Amino acid sequence: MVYSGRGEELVAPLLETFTAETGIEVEVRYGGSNELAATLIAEGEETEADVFFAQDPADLGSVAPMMSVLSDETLDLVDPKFRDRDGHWVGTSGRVRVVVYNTGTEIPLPQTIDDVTDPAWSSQLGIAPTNGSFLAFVAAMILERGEDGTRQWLEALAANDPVDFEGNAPIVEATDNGELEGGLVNHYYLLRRRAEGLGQNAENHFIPAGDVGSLVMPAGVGILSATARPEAAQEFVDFLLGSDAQSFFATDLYEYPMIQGVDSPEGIPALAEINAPDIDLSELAGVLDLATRLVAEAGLV
Amino acid sequence: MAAGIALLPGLIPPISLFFQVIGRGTALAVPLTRLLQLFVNTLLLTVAVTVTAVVIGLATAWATTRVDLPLRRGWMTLAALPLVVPSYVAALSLIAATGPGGILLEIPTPYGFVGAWLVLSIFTAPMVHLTVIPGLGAIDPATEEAATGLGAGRWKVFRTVTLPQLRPALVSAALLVGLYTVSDFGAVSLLRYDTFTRAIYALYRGQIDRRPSATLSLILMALAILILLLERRTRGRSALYSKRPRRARPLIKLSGWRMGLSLSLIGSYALIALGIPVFVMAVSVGQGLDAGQPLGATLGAEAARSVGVAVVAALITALAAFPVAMVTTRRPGRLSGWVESAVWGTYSLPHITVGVAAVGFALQWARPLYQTLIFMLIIYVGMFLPQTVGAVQDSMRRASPDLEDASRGLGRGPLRTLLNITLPLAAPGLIAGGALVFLSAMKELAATILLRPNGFETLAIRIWSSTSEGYLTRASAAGLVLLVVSIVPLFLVMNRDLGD
Repeated sequence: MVYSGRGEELVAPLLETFTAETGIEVEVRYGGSNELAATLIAEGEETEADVFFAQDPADLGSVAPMMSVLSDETLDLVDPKFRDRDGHWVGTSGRVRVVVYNTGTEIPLPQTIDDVTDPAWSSQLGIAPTNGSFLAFVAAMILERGEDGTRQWLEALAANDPVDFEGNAPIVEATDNGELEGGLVNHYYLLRRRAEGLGQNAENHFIPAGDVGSLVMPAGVGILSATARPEAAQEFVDFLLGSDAQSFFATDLYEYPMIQGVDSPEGIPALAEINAPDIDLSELAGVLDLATRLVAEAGLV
Repeated sequence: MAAGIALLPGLIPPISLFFQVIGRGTALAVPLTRLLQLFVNTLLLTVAVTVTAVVIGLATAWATTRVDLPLRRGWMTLAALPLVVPSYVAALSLIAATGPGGILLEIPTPYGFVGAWLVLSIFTAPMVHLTVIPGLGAIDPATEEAATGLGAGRWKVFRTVTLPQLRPALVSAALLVGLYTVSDFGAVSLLRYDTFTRAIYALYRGQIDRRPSATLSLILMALAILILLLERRTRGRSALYSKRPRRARPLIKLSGWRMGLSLSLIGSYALIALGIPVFVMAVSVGQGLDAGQPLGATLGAEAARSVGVAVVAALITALAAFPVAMVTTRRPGRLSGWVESAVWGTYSLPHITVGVAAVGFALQWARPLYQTLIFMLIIYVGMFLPQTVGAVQDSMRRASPDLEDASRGLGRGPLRTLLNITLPLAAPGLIAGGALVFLSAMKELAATILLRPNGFETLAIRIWSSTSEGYLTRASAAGLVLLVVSIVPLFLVMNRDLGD
């Protein structure tokens, strides 16, 4: 049984290949990544889940105490930056925070994440404050500059009158349509929009300063220690880190592959060229509740 | 006794919420001033939506029951259908149709209060439409004819004779709309109007700690109960039944411009409420197909699951509503008042709260039921019971208890009286209420995601997952299927005796 916080749209074709290759039948429970994490914690040892395939490191981190330690062979496939410090989960594909902008904008593109609180962006910046990715990004900021620094940034952002959205995709759509000058999103939404024949008036900007503005949030996977089928679970993890699945993430989902030898999606900078912040993703889960509280206190939800 | 059992599902979520908070201490993540603002926002939207939906729904119900419209039954069905459109789909359609680059109108998208008010009013009006139809049909034609005979015009008859007799049905309908507005997440979040529910969803998504969201949900429920108590004070308790045998009422024959006006009004409602979403989704499917996007091979299975679950939910909810309506109309008293309030408490909760609370309950006290279809349906009954109770109550109030007394006086047992006399009297309400539950269950999302058995994907889940991943083509295709597969069961039900 796979608990998948990643959408069926993305995962279903992958699982078909897995079953075809290994002969292992897979049941899946799809849901919001955070909801599934909470469900796993509530189910505890009695859970039917063998693996948790999650959308971001915060969700993985909160379930980490229920996960077994992965083998070194598995862990070594992936850069230590994109896996759990204690080896409970491993990144499977990279999602990067970017500033999506309308190609006609005259506002200077932000060089640091603090630039988006500049008055030039007033009423022109889309954010999705209830979205898991935004909250993970705020949690990362807490790790980078502490609670007070994050509160100040959130208050500056709130004072700049950002435009609230329910998710990343509508921000990209509004930017593409010229309703907005730009917004804080994940990099792949624009690329998927282009696959639908749209998205010609928008572009991704990777903030160059090395701050959380260009945070890399890997989706990832871990094996529940309560599993009755550890071998099958291990095969699933190996499959996700194999070159077929990694190519699928890159070409079909426009996400960054996590292993050597598979090319990054076309048309965006390679993962190594992105100046990502230096934070320990294992600690993200510990500050997620605080991040949500700070976002609420800043009046953003 | 039966009424008590029928109410149990609705008590599961509130009880589970209390246990999440009590003993572990409450925690409030949202500052108090913000809470007050959310409270005021929620209340304003609730009042505005309720008033507007009542006006729209009453108009569509009156026109399709009383006026000799061509294809009258078709219009009656069509005016109920917008309820099946999930509110986030309705909001997305409005956003896609307007704004710069909008595919219908180049006007700025009405974000905030106006947008939420428009979308929720238009798409909840069918609750009023369906709840009021049985009542409109059951009014003794003699009372209206007497008023006309005394020289009152059609409008005056409507205002002074028809409307007062519809009051209980309208109050039920207003509560359905009002408390739905309190619980709605899709429209307010997409159209950026800050309400309680939006804050609750944010806390569920961003926090593993469930106490803040549970606390906020309990506060929201308190607000709903406050609205209920206010309603109780204003409700009239007059007898509505006629002592004469029921007879058919001739439909109003409108001619010339009046008929044209009626048709164009109801037509424009259908065009706005159904035409805009259908057009927006069709355009998106077209664009996607051009770009070579697949539509999704599992839509057929998902549609079958959605329809199956919604039909069963409608049947058992109607079954459960019957004893509750019996007790509250035939033996009104303090106890029955409490019984009624309990029915409404769960209805006002955001569906994510209901889902999380139900999961907590099942894991702790009913493990074998966890993630079973049966448990999901039980919770559906808890969530949707008010939608049937209101309509059934209204039908029962219009049937004189003398009929039941006479039946028993003639030597029939209580069971036969129930089956042969009471049930047929309640039938119009059961049908209308069942239709409401069917439409609501078709689009239910937040609780279904948490409660469904593994692999049990429905159309609503498909629409949501495709939308949130940014795959508009597949989301739109599923949205169109949702509308299409809802029409047939709805039309079959609406073609029965609704009392009109």
